[in-house]
Amino acid sequence: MKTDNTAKGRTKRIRMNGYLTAGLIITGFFVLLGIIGMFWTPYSTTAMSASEKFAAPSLAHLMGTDNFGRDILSRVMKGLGTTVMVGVLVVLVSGTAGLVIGALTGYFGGIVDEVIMRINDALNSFPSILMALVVVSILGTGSRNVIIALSIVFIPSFVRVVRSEYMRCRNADYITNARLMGVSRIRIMFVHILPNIMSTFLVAVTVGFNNAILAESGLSYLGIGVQPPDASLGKMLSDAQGYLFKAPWYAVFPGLTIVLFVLGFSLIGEGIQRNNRR
Amino acid sequence: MLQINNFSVGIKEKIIVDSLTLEIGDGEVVGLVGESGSGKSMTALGIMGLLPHTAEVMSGEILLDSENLLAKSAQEMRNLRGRDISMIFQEPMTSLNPTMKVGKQLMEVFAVHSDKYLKDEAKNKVLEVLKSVGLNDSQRVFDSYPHELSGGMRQRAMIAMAMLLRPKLLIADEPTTALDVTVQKQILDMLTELKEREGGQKMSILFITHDLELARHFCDRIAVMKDGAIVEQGEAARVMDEPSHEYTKKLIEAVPGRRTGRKHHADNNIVGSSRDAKRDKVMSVSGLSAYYKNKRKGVFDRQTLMKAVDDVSFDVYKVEVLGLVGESGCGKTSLSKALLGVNPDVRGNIERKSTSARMIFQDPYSSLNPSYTIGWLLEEPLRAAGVRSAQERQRRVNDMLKMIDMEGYNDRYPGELSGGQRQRVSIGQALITEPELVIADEPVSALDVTIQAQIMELMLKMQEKMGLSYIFISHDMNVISQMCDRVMVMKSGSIIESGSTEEIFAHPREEYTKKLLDAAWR
Repeated sequence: MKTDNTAKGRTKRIRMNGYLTAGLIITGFFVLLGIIGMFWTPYSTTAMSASEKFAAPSLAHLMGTDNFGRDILSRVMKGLGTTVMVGVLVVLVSGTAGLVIGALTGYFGGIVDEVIMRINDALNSFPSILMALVVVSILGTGSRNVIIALSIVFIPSFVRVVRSEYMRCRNADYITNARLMGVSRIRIMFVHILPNIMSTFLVAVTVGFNNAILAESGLSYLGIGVQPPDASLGKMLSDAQGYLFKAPWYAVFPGLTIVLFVLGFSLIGEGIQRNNRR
Repeated sequence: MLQINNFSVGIKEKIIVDSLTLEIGDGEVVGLVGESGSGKSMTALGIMGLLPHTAEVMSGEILLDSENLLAKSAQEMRNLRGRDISMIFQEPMTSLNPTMKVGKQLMEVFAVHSDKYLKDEAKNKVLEVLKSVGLNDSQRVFDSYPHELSGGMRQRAMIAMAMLLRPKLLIADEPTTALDVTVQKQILDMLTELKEREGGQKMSILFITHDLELARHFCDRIAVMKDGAIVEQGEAARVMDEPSHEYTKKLIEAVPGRRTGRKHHADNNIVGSSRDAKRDKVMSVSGLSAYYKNKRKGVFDRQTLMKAVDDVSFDVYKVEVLGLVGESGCGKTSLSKALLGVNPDVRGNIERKSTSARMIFQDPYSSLNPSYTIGWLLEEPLRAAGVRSAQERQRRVNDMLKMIDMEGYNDRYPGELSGGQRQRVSIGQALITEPELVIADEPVSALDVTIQAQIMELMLKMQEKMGLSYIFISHDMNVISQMCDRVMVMKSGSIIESGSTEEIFAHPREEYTKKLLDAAWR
């Protein structure tokens, strides 16, 4: 049989590229650090020591100590654990909700779509950090409430991405074909369409994860997020503010951790996107 | 006039054009034919100096009036394009800028190429050229945006743009492939006329196409291209009637309607005559009208409907191929959607013996879900039909793969297959649940001729094996004549004529049918 091989092969294998590799290494390092931090830290995160106040970075304290003489590395590790947990849970909850709502509105369209999208627009018209502030002030502070607040706030952005992808796919010939076969609507939505929008959705997830981390840090910085004595990167930054010149490492290391962590995730997102474009 | 010597182009180690030598004389029309991927378009882009930057010219020269184009600088080529060489592209919608009025785009050619550019003079000239390409309402066209014009008008506007500066050479890359047959003929007649009318030096045309019949009627000479090289060239009639190269023979053989033709079922006893009232009906349609929704202007506006199919009645019998022919926009697709039950806005009666009507789509690149393997895709209709046993499903999938000549392709993804292979899978997917009726919407019009023949053969073979009926939708009379037992001709939503294939082709009653047949150059 004669075949022409002009059609470009599209394999399912995930292709690595520079962005993806660098992103995975950076993120992997910090996630590992955070997970270790949940079970073990070099020093106790709450043990204070008056004699070691504001100790500069040294072999004993790699990142130095803070205003109570606590080891900053240990607290960064602990804080990372909190941050990763908040990020993962927020993305899990809002991503799933966004996927389901977006799939329904995008696939069915019509009046349901109109109503949900207008609610979505209303939610979107407030800055997300402000919305989170409102929710937290109603529910109270603490990491559980931060997760609930951020999950609600992040749903609209997921809905928007998923909806537009479903609208793109729902008129494709292969979906019409599936309808003609008598495949149920739910199965079309989540078995036939979902894998085709997965790469776009993953990019949205990386962006959402980043935003969740930054928002959590922001809320903790404002003092309404994670409460002491729990460590959080945002809270550490806000505490370090007063000692910026006296002990710059206090602000630098938690700040650097947030920046690198977010950078790593952005690189992963960029890497996925570049793979899609090819 | 144009002389291409030993011209080779490569992309990443792969040779796309292989030492091509071709000559085009003054006022000559040379056809470059070949299947997709044979390097036709790359040759054209090479002449224009518009090769993609991954492509590399490896050897050869292209002489236009004994000046080597390959030695020219980018600036010199820019001046040359439009003035000495022009090109018409296949897709008229994407080759005009949608945000700019047609007239302004045409004026742009003067702005770029003339030193002394007088607005009024240029405008008069543009209007004149628009008239000469058959756009008599030239002032209206001048003030229109591309989307306000029909496909044929857009292609004419493109040709007008190419003709503005009276080029010596016109490269036409599949200029009529996207158009309806009747429009196709008008455009080609017009090109011939324009060529003749040229004062002094006659214009030469390099006509690129995959359609051999078209090339035969339009070209003086034909060059057949395969895998980047010209395998045969010569007088159009000579190449078509006495091809010397194997590949040319194969191409000509594959042209629908040129082969011995299909054995019509009317000849053998399996079916008997199509009009025999005693035969089993698979589907019976009476007084069917179908509508589509106009786009709503706002949430609270009333939904308005447009009639796409107007009071249509017909029967489909067991084991027959019923052709449905007509130009784009005549309601063919709306009718098929109504028959399949995808469109809810219908009036009238559709009686079916069983509910299992399936469909084969035109574009094999969008009818298969790219995220799943061929095995999964063939299994899905069985799952949806409620075949519980995984072993049973697997067995039927493997049987079907054998029948469509794709054995062992279970774990491949659609992206790894060629267009013809994908269309085979589509057919397998439609037939695996053993439906009684399959609607095929232009199933071969996106494919090369040799592949077309294979797919049609497969469809007929499957029909024999499974005893099913097809409604075969096409705009191509040649394909219809080869496939169908009966034909219905559709025009603006109604069926204006129907009968057995022989009858329609030998004695068409309606003027419109004659026009369609005439345009197919049989």
